[in-house]
Amino acid sequence: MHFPAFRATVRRLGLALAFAAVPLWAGAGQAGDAELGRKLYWEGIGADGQPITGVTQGDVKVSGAQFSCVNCHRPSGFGTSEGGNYVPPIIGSVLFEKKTPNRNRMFKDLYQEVQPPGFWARVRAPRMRPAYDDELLARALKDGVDAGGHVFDPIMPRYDLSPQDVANLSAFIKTLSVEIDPGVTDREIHLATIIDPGADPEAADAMIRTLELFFEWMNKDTEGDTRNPTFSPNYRSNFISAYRYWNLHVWRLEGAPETLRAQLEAKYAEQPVFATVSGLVEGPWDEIGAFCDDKRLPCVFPNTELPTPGEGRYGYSIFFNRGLSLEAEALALYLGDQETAPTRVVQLHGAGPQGTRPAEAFTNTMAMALPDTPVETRLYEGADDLRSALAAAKPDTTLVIWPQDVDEAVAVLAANPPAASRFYLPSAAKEPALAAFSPALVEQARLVWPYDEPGSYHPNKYRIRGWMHTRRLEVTHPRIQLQTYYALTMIQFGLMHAINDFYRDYVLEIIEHEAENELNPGTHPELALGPGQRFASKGAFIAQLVPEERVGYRVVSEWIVP
Amino acid sequence: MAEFKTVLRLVSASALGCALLAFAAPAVADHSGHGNTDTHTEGHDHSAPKAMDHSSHSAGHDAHAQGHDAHAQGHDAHAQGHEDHAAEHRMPEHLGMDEANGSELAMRPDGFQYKTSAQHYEMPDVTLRNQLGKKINFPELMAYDGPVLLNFIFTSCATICPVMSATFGQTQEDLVAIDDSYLMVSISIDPEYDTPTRLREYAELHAARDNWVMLTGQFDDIFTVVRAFDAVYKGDNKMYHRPLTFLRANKDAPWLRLEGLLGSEELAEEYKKLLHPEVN
Repeated sequence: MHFPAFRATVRRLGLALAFAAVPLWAGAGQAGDAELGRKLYWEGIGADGQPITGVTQGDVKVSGAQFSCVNCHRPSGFGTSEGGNYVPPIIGSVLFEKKTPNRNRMFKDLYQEVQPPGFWARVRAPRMRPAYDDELLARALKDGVDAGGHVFDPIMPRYDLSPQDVANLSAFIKTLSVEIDPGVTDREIHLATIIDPGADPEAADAMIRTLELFFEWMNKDTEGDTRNPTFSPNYRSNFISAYRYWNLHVWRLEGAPETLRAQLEAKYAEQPVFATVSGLVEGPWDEIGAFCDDKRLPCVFPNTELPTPGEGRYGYSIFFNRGLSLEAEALALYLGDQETAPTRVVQLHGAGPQGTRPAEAFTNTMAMALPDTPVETRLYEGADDLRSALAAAKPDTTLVIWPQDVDEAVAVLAANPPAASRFYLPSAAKEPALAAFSPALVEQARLVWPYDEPGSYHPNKYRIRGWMHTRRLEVTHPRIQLQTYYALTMIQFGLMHAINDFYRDYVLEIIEHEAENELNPGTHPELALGPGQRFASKGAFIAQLVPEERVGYRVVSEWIVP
Repeated sequence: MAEFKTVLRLVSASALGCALLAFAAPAVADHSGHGNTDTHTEGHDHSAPKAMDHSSHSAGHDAHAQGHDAHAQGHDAHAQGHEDHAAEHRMPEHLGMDEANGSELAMRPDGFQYKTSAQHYEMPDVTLRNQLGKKINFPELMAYDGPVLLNFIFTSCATICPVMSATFGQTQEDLVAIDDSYLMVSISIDPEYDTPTRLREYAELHAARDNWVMLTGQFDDIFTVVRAFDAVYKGDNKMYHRPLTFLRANKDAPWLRLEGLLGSEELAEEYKKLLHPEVN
């Protein structure tokens, strides 16, 4: 079957092969610049500084600006699967080796996900081919013919590349996923969780309890599965090389914010970890996030309300949502959606980032949503200052409060009910407000609620609660513990899919891919990522307090996505 | 390159279609034979046992009228089934078992083709938002009495959407040449990420003309539309969505459903055939 296919290819390509390819191959021996290759792979920019061009699906012209190699072949080079299309790995160690029937390699292509039959047929009938060299790579990229003479799927664009481009790309591909990433030994995989100095100690304990229990059961499973590897239903013995005992490192940070980075560096130097999972961070994630990016260390779903500002596309931190900035923007849009705009908005905020960041986001979004409504912003420092600020509120005032210390603000409000007909607080105020507010205050108060509404259905919510209860886990902080469990399942799925390709980029890509599956622990209406996306939940409700109901709140708005 | 490609048009190429079908059907049946319905964790085969059924059904006859009625009926029942799930659409949809996802023909020797079928879809009453942030009542938009081309995309999609959007983008000129009264609609299946701003940037990237509407909206509304076009994907994970394109000549005409990726010439050809069937 191979030979006729090759002949057909030659016939099809005809003159293009005979003439155009010659100058291309002639230059293929030149030295490549991996950095320029990276630019080509990631941005579709050729050696001449211009976007490269190609043709997909036979006649659809595409430019490097529309999409480039990384779209399909991903940052790791391991490829992907989407819409039933199988994108094979193109890392150097696969491309520049001949492809022979290799059961273990094939298992890695058998994505642990549902696919249409055509996909499986494609994967199960792998095409054998000799190793690529730069000449064959040039031919493949330009004419869509693999090293064995098979014609590529039409979705793989045929690119118009210069010899230098091919050499650069070849050099770059050889740098992709060369050695497995730090934090993995033959027996163990090291994972850390980060707790910053401001984190509530009881919440941190609840998180650690959840982590430790999950690790314990993962390791019990590993022990059971590896003890008798010859007993092998479902090919288990083929995956023996993928098993690792999970080893948890709790990274507790102390002291001033400017020292955090050095502490992280020191802990990482002492014991490199493959990823961080969950975590409880009260202060801004910014410095920690910079550390994750610099180390190319996946930091997966920390519990934080102050994630690094910006989109973070293709960064190494993955968050539940944009935290307090999201809450502030959703609130501004909510006010803008009301039939009658508020006559006067007074915004009070604390001095730290919990106060200033949402205040800034609120001001900016209000300027768009309600440009004619004046927003008076006032910084307060401490309880006394807040008290006098509250006293100035008039009945027609809409009050928005972003406290640095939520408990303090709730206590002040409870003792000094403001004259404002309505005041808004961030979601963190829910529990203290339920405990402290009088019925009149409950009536005046609204919360921004970037979580799910009561009574929504998520199958995994019940599975997880069952898992927790049967193992007698003390659930004192349900949200943090459920979110921690979700972070753990993401790492678990990522590693399970990667098998023994312990590459961080690859695991991150799998997490992007799998986040939307049925794993939502019921904390958010939807948790989903996409290629390069770093915030799994994107909106918020406005809620009112309902002390007489068990959950204590009811949503009063649509899900608002800024 | 396009002329080298054999596009198997199952609806029109009757004799060839039937002949191939005779070969394909047992192959599909055989393939689905080892369909394992559970344990998706082990990377097992998930082909749907109904695959043969469905493909032979929609591939059946070249005469629209006869085979079509039966199909539409079957489809209604199918849609009804989905309605029942609507309220709890996060229920794991028998992963790998829904016949829509299994309908792709198993590998054929010549590899790549798209599949066509005529379908009737009920436009659901939902309000979405276009790339300019304006609210758009979907049935009102679809009440437009002219040709419509529609697909489902998302802007961060890595593999098939850029190709589908580039195809839409490039084919615009050809469509204008054939009949410029068309409306092009791309609906984001990642509505919360694809804000109007992102859709605007995406439209620019693909040189969208003014008659190319990109829609986002509330999650549930979007998925009502997805279900209405029988475009559901596995596990409600957008990463498993399929390349589908829908064409329609006017507001009363059936939808031409194209499954698989198309080239620009192929799309223009389908459009032309739809508007000027006498040409062929």
